[in-house]
Amino acid sequence: MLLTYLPILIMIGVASAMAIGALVMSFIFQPRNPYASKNSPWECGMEPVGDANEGHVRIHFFIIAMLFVIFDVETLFLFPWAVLLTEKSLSTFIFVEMIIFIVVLAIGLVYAWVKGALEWV
Amino acid sequence: MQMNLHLMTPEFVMLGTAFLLLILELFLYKGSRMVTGVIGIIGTCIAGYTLIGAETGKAVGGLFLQDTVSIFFKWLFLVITVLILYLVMMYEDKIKNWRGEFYALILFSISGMMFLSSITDFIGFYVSLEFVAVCLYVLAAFTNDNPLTVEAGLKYLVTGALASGFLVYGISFIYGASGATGFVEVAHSLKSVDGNGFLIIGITLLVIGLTFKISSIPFHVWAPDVYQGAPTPVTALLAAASKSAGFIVIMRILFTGLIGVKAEWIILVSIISGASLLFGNLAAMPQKDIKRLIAYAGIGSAGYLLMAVAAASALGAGAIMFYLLTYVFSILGSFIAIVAFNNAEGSDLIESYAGLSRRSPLLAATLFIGLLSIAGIPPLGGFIAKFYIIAAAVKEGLWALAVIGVVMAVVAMYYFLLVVKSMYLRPPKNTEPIKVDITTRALLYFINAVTIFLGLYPGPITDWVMDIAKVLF
Amino acid sequence: MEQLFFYIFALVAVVSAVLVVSVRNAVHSAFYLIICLLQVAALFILLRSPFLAAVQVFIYVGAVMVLFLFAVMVLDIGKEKTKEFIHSQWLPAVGVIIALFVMIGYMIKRGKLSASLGIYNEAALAKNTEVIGKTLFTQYIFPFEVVSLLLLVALIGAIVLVMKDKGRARKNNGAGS
Repeated sequence: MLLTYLPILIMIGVASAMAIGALVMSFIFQPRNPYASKNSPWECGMEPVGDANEGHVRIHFFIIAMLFVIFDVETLFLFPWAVLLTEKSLSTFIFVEMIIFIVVLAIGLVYAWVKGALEWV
Repeated sequence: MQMNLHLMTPEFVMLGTAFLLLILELFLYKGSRMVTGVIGIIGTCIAGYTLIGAETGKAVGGLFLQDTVSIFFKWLFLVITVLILYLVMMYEDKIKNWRGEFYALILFSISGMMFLSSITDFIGFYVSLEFVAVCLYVLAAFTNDNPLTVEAGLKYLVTGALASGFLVYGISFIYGASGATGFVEVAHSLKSVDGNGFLIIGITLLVIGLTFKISSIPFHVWAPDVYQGAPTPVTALLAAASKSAGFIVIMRILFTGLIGVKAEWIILVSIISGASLLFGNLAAMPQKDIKRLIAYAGIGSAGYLLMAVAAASALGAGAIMFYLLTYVFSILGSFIAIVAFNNAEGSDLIESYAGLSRRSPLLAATLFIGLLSIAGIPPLGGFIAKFYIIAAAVKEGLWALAVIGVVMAVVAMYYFLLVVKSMYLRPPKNTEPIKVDITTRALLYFINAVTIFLGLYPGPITDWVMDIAKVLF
Repeated sequence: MEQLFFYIFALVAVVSAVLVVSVRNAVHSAFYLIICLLQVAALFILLRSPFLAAVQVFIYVGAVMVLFLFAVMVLDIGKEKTKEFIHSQWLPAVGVIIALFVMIGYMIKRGKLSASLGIYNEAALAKNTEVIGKTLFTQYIFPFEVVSLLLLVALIGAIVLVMKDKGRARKNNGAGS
């Protein structure tokens, strides 16, 4: 059974090898000519002032990420449910069950919507 | 599979009320949310009405058990809900944003606690516990314009997450040792310990994880800061409801699931109990803020209740239920008085309570009765409760714990009497009387009457509680 | 062979987990956490639970890591990373961790598993998703429905704690305040 995962393992190995290989190759073959202004954020002759990572990111990103996690978990439960729906004896029961689950979360979605959590202004 | 959904009617009513409040909130605009509070109280009363003469039995395929103990705890939770919703209505001016959600989240957390009181399975237990915990994390940080509240919310979340990790790790070890997740099935497969390391480590982690909910050692560190920083109704919810929910869960797991291996956990629970008694009561003495004082006293109370858990008998279980009954009334009465005082004076410091008896005799009397009942002074309910707990401990031969319990009761009298001294003997800085409105008055009279009644005539109640506690074994 | 893979995955998981708490840059520790979680997913596959492995990748590596990285971004962690990040309590912390490790290790060595695989032998577990779905949607229906409430409350909590209460204000007076 585990042998069926061998292609995935090989794929991961090849992908990692490509990525690491690219880094190593460029490290070996790069021309080396360091000078100080190469490290500044803008090579336009102006001295940068302050930090680039201060207060430019809105907290709203966090709500979006949170909504993503919550609905991701919901989707995840749909997979075993969908697989199981073909069983005649269970299908009605678990269909109703999942509808209840989705309705509860849909109330959450409506709530987030009306409260403006989905607006980007 | 047996669904028997009618057994869950009170929970459905509570959840329905919470959803109703949430949806209603979408159509209400600025201003007061008294309407929301009143609807919440009405919903709670309907839930109570459906609980009258509730049948016992199992629902949703045996994962939900309605027995006399769970009905007792559901009544307790409903009484707490009504009082706390009233408390929120008194407190409402201090909540600037999202008032409607505050009520809804309280109802959600209470319905989660009602689920917890009927739990028969580790998986259902863990999910319901997290449901309650998420509500409480949000509520503890609710008025987040105040740095103290933010600190409270953060501390509660971080310790809660750690405790939850302990809990789930312990549950997985117990599953490994027993091969079952239902409490009854676990009890079937665990008749004796036979030195199975998985079981020992599982029980240890589980008990340590459970101490978070009841704020006893080793997960007590959050209590003082959270009690002080969280909005006062949430503090009341944590002190009364969350602690009761923690104890019904502890009783279900330890008395129903792990009673066959009680030799393993009695020592552990006894150590935690003794340490909490000593730490809570001694650390309460130098406190200046009344909410911190109640937090440390709450750690001590958890120690008393764990003493009855360590007794592992029907007498102990009954004593826990009676203690929680008196504790809920005394502490909620005290919190209503604290909020009423804070609304007038804007302070929770004990020294600002100086001369309260001359400014508002009713508030002073409520705090007097409530705090002294928690301390366990004879004619009040708390005394009888402590008496039964110590009796249960002595009957099972836990002499050392009983002695610590008695000594610490004296210490508790000392620090609560300091508050009483401040209220009755010190002269007030400002003699203006504090106005208390008529409903609050009526409620306080009722709560005080209950506390005194439980102390003077406990016979019928204790008999009833001792009788239903036998179901757990 | 299987054991060899187990030790590789377990070793990488433990090393990256230690790195999560010991590197100074918060973004780096988030990436080490991704590595750790991927190894756990691989361990689930070794345990014949491909569904849980998928969950691990789907939820943790996907959604939760996005949340972590957003939190790192929003919190302006840049300045904090240069400051002291291991406090004076590291000695007791290490002591407690070692004590816990030794204790749990000793107990595990003494322990014995009585949980039987029962009907779930390797052939039955080939239909892993169906097996999980069947237990989840029949026997554990109650926790499943409570999960939906849990997610709903988490959603409300995120909105309540993070947003200003402006939806109502805008509705109320048109222009917003």
